[in-house]
Amino acid sequence: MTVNSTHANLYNVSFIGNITGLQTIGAGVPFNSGGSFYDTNNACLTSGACPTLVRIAGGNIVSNATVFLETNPTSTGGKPSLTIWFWNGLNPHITGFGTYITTFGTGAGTAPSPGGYGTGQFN
Amino acid sequence: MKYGALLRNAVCATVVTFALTHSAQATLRTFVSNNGNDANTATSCQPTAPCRTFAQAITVTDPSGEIVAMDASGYGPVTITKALSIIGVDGATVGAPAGGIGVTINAGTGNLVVIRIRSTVSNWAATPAFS
Repeated sequence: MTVNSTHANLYNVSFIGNITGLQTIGAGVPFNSGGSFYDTNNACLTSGACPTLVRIAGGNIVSNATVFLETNPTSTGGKPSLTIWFWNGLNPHITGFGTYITTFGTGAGTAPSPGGYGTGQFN
Repeated sequence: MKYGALLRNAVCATVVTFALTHSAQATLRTFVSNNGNDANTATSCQPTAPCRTFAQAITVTDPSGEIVAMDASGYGPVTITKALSIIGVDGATVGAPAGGIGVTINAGTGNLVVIRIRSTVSNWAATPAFS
């Protein structure tokens, strides 16, 4: 699956046997922002400052060569911005991968791992 | 005579209006099924005549509408270019073509896409995989 500069919520969606399970393209939300950030931050919603975010609740992510790929996530404080969140308490079951996460392009980096998990309310 | 002409015109207008409003009319909720047929876009992929693929159902689904996958099956690759929900039963799948992408979400800023599979998933990770 590729998510390009869009906000997406995935519930119980599984990714099985892909070269790349989920790729995001575009700037994410600032590192350490809250789980409901994009629901409440008007600038984020409308200005295009952080157009890319995938929130995942549940699902099985199995046997993917690369699980997550972030392309051009931009950076916040020298760290890759977040484009993938997990719903707190409903993390997907991830197993059997070659590379867990990699970043590419603008804002790419290795530490900390992009991702995290939200604590806000899904729409 | 004049009345007859007016009546004919009125009937023609009614027929044209009916045809326009009943051919591939976009709707808020559309359906796909293993037994569906993409020709059913002509009737907006409704439960009694669902479509076969997400790619065709989306063409007759309104922005902010939803596509319902009625049963476990593969529904083909799809590109989502508007706010949309896809709701499926467990086993509703999208098989990516070799070297290709199964689902492309390119709906633009401010549009929310939701994909929801109605199932119970066990074996949750006890702790976040990353933070």
